Amino acid sequence: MQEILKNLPVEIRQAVLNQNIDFRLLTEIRMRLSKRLVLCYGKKEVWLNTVINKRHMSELLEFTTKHSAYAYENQLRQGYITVEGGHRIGFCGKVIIKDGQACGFKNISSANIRIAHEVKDCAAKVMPYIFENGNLYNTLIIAPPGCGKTTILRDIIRQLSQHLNVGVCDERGEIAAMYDAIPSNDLGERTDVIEGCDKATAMEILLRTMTPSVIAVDEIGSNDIKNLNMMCNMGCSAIATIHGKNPKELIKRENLKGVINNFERLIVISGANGAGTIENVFAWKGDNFDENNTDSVHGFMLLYDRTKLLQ
Amino acid sequence: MIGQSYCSKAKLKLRQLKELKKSFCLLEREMSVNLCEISEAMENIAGRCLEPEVEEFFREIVRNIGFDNTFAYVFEDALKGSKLMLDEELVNNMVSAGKGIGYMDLENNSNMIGLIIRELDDAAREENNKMADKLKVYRTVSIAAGIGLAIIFI
Repeated sequence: MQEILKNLPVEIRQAVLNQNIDFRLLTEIRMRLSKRLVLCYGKKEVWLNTVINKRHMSELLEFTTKHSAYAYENQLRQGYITVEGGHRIGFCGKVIIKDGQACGFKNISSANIRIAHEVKDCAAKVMPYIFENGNLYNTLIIAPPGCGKTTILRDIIRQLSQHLNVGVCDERGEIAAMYDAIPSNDLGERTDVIEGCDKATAMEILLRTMTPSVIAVDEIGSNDIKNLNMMCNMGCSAIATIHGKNPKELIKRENLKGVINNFERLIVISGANGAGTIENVFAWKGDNFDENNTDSVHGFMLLYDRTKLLQ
Repeated sequence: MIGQSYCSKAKLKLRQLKELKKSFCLLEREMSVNLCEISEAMENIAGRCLEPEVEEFFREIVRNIGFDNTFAYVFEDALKGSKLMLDEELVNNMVSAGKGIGYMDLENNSNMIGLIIRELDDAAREENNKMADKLKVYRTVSIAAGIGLAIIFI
């Protein structure tokens, strides 16, 4: 937890240290200008008496960028910085626009420090659905923000790496949390990581250079669909995550049209019983699969449903 | 000769100003072209410095930069505590220009470093003129003293 603490402004660091905190359960630290500091434990919030001021915000930006905000402009453009340990620090404020594109922030008004947790074996429940008799299915993990997509993906990579060469496109440095070219998180022994470049480019480089059996990508978007398609057609499997509530919602999103057609398994995760709750697992059965079946979604058959198990 | 030896301090100051100017030019390049983090950039520059006082100034910043102080604080501390022979006005101008380096974007950073380079350039030019004037005075005094001595001997 030192990686998080050292990035905080000195005063905030002291305020956090004065609390009796179980860092294993801490999920977020939220800072809003002129408001009190908030520590989040899942859905529970603890409000501290320290009020955030402008100096705290500029120190947070300076410490997280190692006094070199100019070197993190690419990350800041997306609104966040990933620090050692894979923790993500998101910023809000007045966006600076240059040549019609957002290139950073000034007057930072809010910051959200999301603490990454490495949970080994958290993917044990889904592994039998995606890796069967040495056969790996192209898998898409669907979940809303903060429900443990990246944590599950990281564990899937680690487990697959025991059998296959895995290539990881780690655009934001959250999966491997590389520090001095060594991953801070355990991704297994057969894993190669490309960090810092966009996913489409990373996929191409990995395919050409490392000949992986499977490529893992976090938080895919509309720009990555073409490359995913190419990758799946070149005999390489894909494990990806995407923001969403369920497959039906994804299909409705115009810019993601056709994204699920690249996959053979869909895994839906929620935060119902804490982050990483497996809601559903779907398996591709073909375009002609019974659409009238209430459990099916566009050619996918429901294999696992948590709510039905509860009944 | 006597005059020139009197000027050794001024010469050292001039050398330091030139070396500092060169180092800040390199720093700007390390930041904008290589996108090095500031501590890495300063470490690289310290390794290339020819003047030990300038090298020590950059090394002091690298040693103290961390997670407890802002860059502005470390920069000011290193500048004021260094053995560099800089005028107070120049130090204050450099501190003021170096304040935002830690959290500014590339363009603003380059502008601020550019400002420091210009300040150093002006100081070096001023020092050069001063030294030339002093040298002239020392030379005249030496010649006059030589003539005086010759007259006394005769």
